[in-house]
Amino acid sequence: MAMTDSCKRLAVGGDKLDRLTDLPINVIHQIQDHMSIEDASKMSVLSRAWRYVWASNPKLVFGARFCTKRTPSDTIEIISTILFQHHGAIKTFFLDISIIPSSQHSVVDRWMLFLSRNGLVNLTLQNQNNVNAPYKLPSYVYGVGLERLGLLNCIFRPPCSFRGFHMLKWIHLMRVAFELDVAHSSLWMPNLKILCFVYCSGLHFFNIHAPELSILFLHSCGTLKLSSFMECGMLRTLGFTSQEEVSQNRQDKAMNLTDFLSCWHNVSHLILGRYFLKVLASDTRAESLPTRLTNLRSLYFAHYNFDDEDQIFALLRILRSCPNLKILQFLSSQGNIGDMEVDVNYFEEPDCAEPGLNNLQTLRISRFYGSRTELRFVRFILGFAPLLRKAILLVDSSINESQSLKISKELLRFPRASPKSEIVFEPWSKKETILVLRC
Amino acid sequence: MAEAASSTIEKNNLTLKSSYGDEFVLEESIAIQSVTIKNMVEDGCSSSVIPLSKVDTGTLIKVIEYMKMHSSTSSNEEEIQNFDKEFVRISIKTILNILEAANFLDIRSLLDLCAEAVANRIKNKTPEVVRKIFNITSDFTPEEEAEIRNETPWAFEGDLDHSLD
Repeated sequence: MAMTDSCKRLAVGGDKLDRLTDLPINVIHQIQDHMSIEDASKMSVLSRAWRYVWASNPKLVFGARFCTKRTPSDTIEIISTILFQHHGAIKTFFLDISIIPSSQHSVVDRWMLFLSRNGLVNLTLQNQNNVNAPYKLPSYVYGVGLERLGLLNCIFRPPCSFRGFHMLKWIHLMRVAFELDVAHSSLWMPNLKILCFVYCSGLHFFNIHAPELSILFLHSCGTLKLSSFMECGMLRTLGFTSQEEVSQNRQDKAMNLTDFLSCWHNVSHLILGRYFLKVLASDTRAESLPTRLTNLRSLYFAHYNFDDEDQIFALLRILRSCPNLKILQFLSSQGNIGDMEVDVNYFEEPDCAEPGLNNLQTLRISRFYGSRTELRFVRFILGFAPLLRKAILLVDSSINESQSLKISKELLRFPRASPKSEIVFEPWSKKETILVLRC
Repeated sequence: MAEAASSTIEKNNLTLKSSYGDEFVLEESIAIQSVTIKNMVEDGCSSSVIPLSKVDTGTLIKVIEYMKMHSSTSSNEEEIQNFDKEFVRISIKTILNILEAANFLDIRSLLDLCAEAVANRIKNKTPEVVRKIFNITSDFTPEEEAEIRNETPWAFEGDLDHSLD
């Protein structure tokens, strides 16, 4: 069979076959997904076989490049035409509405209505530049069986009948203002796996039932109570960071490290910002956590200040409860000049190494300043982590070469518990931190 | 007893057979990047040789090279990125062969890499040039073609690339 095929190919002249047209339609669509709208739509004139190939692609992506090329009215006209000429379902729809003035948001509403009846599954709307004119998601979107939802600068105000997206697996909201009232504040999302909220507001009444949730990341969502996620027992990756100070009374009364971590004992990746760390650590200081985070493999501290005693306490407490920790990472940030000098003797107490460092393999500090406390901390890790392989110290750009040399000389003198440990001492670049956060 | 032991050893290796009849022995852990092969292994159909009647020898060698690189634990992200970049610097004919094989074998990342490589050869080109590159014969009358172009005039604006490479 195979032989006859290849013979036939040779017979009709080898290279002269039209192989592209013969590809399965899903593969052709996948090729078109890597092109601009213009290039993909141009393919409709190639031959009769290509006439409706692009028009039946279930994925439509109108990114910023396409939407900012022409005047807003031309863009609106073209998108409307493309939608009405489309053949079959539109499952994935991505649209950058930044250039559409808020007075014309009703056009977007009409597109949403059209999409809501055409098999929409993945929706992303970006409203980058209109900071003062968020797009209000129209009511019919809440009735769609969405699996992925990404919104930037929008208003989330579901109708009273809304009880949650039952099919939703992935939600990523940035600068989204929730307008929920008590009546429909409890959302049922049985399939939700990943939730990421960044700079979202209006979440006082937000409550979610997401038994399958495995990744939760919250950044600067001040009014959101962590207790809304108490029942998410499947959580594996947790991230709480904040740009502004999170005052304690704005958080739940019951919120302390012990409570939370005992609910989420399956967590394997934990990302904590400094203010959360502070709030979480503010209950009884010296005792260790009753719950051991035996599954925790990776700990990341964002904007960690080594010159803040509270943060040091919290760190040591967490370390003591994580016997299987493999990766410990920091994005260091220098404190204010008036900060108290930390008593570095904390790191000298023999029991503080128990047992958190027994399995540690990687230490990574981004924006390393080489302050006295930072150096003491590195010495502490090198001295007590028997399996350490790498200590990666990425030096902040404010540190000049001679300072850098001095720091590296001091580092080399530290005694090491692990015979295999290696110190990597390099300049820091922002890109690396982004990669780290993604894991 | 001895037989059971030897079958466990064999289990770690799979034999893939190209459409030309050439056989390649590959570790199972590498081969199961292909969902098609993975399903065969799970269904117990992989005890003997796995015939890949749609994949010729040259293509299979490239696919195996790709799978080996992508399952290697010693290479970092940057090395893999560079490998991918070099991997698709080949003739369009070969890319289409690999694309078909990746689709048949269900190797998502390879399918995506080749799809992007094909897309890059079409980007910003006029339809006439695209037809030449891929041997596509237009069966439209000039009037029909003009009509379709008029449906999406915005797609034909700007400077288009007339070169064949």
